[in-house]
Amino acid sequence: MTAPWAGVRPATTSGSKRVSLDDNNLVERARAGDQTAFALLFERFHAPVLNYLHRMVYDRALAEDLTQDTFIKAYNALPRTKPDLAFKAWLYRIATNTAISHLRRGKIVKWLPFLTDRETGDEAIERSVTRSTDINVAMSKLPQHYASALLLRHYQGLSLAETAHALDITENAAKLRLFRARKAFAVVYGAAPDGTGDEEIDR
Amino acid sequence: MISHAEAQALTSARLDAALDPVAERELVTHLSTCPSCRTFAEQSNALVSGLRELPYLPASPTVSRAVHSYIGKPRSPWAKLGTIVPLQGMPAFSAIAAALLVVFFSVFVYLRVDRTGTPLDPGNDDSETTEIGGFIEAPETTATFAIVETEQAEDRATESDADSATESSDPSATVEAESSDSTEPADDAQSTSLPEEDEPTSEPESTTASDSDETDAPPEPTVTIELAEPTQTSEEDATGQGTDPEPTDETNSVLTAP
Repeated sequence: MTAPWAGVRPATTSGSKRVSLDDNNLVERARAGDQTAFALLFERFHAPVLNYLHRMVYDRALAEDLTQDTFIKAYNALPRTKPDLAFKAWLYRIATNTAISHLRRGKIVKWLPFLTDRETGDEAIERSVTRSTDINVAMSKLPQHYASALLLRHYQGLSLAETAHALDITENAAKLRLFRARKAFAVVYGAAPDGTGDEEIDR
Repeated sequence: MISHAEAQALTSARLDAALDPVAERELVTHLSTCPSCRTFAEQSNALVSGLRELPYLPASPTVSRAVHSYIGKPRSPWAKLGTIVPLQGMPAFSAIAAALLVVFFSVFVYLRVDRTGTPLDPGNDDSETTEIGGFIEAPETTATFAIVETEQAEDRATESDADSATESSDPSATVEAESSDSTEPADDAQSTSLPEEDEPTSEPESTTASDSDETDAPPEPTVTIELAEPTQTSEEDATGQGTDPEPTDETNSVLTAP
């Protein structure tokens, strides 16, 4: 695969602690009305939120629109937040709610990315692409609350506490949801290509 | 030996945090003997690694332009107000404000009702004026009018007293003296000295005023005159005094009606 997937995955939460301190400083300044600080936060979280929403809705244009909505909502709501705000989880919560509320309107058709380019000679790339395709297909068959939990935890690299905060649930509820999501994924992922086994997903 | 459900739960929990040694050993033992749980563990591991290896989109310049353009706009005053007053931290703020509004409105209504609903007091100017207002039109609807008339009548009463004291030859002063003579005889010496029949044109007015005052407690005489003098035609229209040869009876009937 070539063109559209040229992005660089950002550092996860296991990176340096200085980043988190800078985030807190930027959040504090942005809350006080510093537009430059919010612009820096936007540059930092723009691509992760866009990719998360793209995995949620499977449509790049729609994901861009939802990303824009997410940051505008965050910009408007940030002055009213508490000082001990966990900005990253809060931002993903806005993104999740924006995507789910949009999907609940029932006007979304999931367009799966066309990743079946198997004509390359490299077997490793082919295997990777095949597995990505399978995972994409399996993820697209999961309920939204399961998909969002798995994406936040394993695709975006959020911690369990951050995932729970982003989903607005407790950590124990997040553990339970992740467990059910993994079971649902296993059912779909291990099912036949014709889609049998979908009815076994615990929704 | 743990069950399949417990083994799957431990497999999932192991992806979030490390298990304690005892649980880890039991899980490994179970996975070595259970193909289905082992398959679940393999699929879970494939999910984690597969999601981590998924391609990543670059940042969108369209979104960047739109968001930067939105950020560049100045914030609205309401947003600044939200910065100053963190309403999210005070969930009961609106409820308290609403309760205060209700209390203030109730106090206001109570004071208004109490003022207009007080029984007539002979020594109270407000009661007299209210009765005068009721004499003119309706007692309840003219409460505000009556209060205003009280203040105006008090002011005019002082003026008319001064006029009557200095200009006793004026016909209006004669009327004032006439009515004040009938209602408050010992109050004003100049009024009592003037005869009643000097001005026949103002006789119905003065008679009406004096009769209306006689039906209830004796009011301030100057107040009554002030109401009768500038609104002579309107009072005549309202009470029929302009055509009625006996205005006293008519006035009494109007006063006793409400």
